[in-house]
Amino acid sequence: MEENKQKFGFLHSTVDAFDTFLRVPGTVTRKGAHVRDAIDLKRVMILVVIALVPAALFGMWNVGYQHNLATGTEAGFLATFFYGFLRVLPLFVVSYVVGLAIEFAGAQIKGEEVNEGYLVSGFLIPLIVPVDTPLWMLAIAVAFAVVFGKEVFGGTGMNFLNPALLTRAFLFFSYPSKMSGSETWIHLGKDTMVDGATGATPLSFIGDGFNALTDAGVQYGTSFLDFFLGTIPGSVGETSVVAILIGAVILIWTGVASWKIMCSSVLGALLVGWIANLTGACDIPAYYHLVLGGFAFGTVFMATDPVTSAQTETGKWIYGFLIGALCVTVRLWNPGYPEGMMLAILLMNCFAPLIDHYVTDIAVSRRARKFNVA
Amino acid sequence: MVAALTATLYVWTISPLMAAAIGKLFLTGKVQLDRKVAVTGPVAVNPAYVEALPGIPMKALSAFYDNSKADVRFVSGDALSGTSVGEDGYLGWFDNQVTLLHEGTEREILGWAKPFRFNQFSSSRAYFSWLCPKKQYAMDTNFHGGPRAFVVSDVYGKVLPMDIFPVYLAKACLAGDIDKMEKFGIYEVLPEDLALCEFVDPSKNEIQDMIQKGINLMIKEMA
Repeated sequence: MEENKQKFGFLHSTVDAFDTFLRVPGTVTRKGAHVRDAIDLKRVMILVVIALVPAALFGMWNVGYQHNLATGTEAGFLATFFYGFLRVLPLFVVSYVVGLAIEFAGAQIKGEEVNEGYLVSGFLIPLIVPVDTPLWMLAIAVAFAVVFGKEVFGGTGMNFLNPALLTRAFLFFSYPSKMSGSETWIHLGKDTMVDGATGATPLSFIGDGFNALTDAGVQYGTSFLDFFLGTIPGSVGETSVVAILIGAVILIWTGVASWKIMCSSVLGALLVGWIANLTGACDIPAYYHLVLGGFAFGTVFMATDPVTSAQTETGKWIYGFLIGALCVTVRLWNPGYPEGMMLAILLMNCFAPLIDHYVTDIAVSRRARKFNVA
Repeated sequence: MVAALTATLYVWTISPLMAAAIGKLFLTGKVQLDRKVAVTGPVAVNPAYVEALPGIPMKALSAFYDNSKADVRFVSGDALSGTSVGEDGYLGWFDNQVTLLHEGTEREILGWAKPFRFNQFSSSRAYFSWLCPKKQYAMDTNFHGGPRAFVVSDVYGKVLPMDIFPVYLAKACLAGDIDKMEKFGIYEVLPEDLALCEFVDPSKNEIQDMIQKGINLMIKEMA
């Protein structure tokens, strides 16, 4: 990359980024191990993007499907998918253009290579916002998250908050009327809703109990199978647990994401849901929480982000467990927020270094005791 | 009970080669340092053992490499922690292996995006080389990526059989934090202990160099 530095000067980071994207760099090892593993971060990131594709494709179809249900139109599979594709594509474009522009600018200012971390965050952001999000709002939120969530700390690998969730949190707290309620989740376009249809997601009914959830009288199905398949309104990519599970299998099989975080998160959610059942606080069975709202998406793709999660193996169990538990706690006992996953993950991102600190402290002192000469 | 490794403990080590030399000295009264040196590596033509003294020039091994092929890296030692000495270099005092590697400056198009990538070895399951454990690969010195910050956290512990936290130790060495280095076990490691961590690292960090700098700092502190 040295010759690029001389040839292009200020712009060499941009040229390097495209150059290393298209061709593996020809740099050879200088110190230490002379041979290296073929894996690099680009491969890790592209595997996460591949794991996200099922959720994205289903989300695009679901946007069209919910539109058809709400407005009473009939359309074939491809027409439904294409409708949703056209609504979701601008979100992807804005997310990648704004985010990558800031990443490229930041890399050039620092004089370093452009990091691939945004390939994943940029794909995640459109999947966790409502499909009707105004594009200018999304652009501001992406800019905020990339600058204050990543670049000021030093770029990929240095941030302590998940940038995709920071985007969502910025949107949620800055423009609350546009991010929640009944009008944001289903894209109507120029059509109007039929009588009796509503834009409310299933999560808005759980406060009223199990019967309110299953007999809501809404235009979409409310059985467990509907929640599991994802034919319900919600953010673009979060509804289909089936698609997310396909992504989870890809991530666990290739070893990119930690299964410990996923399992302990599920356990934490089930435990708190079960306690709520026992104490009568909520009669919705605990396993419903796994398929409602953004829990599945957050567990598989957001909580497992290797940079912002706990880095020790024991810490991952604790971290994941608390995320699941906090998510269901916020859902059931906090009247202000119907969905708790974003808040749970962001809070545990703040606590992850503390968890690691105590895990390493305990491990080191246990080891010191073992080796002490009496 | 194993004695704790502290700053004031002296530990002496000897390799089998040197033990044999000491034995020969006491038996014959002569200093005999000749040893069997393994000439290895994918570039080596007919890898074999040779009888050699330390300090033999690499040119003496010209039968093993093809002079017409450009870009050979001569490593005195093994591929993970040896020293690159160049064609005009010599075998190191402590080494009994020479590794001949090809300088991998070729640039593969979209290498990281290829689904299978049959010619490259990866210990991770992100590629598919784990499906053919007996296959042999001609390793070269290409980095296969650019330097990045530490991102993944679970790969290092899997290849390090010591009960320490390698990433925390490496970061403490980078920061020059003496207390943290002591806490995470700087007294117990040599750079070559973390050579495998450096091998599997997707962020292409120079971990052995970090540890060496940490050790140098500790030596300076203790002086």
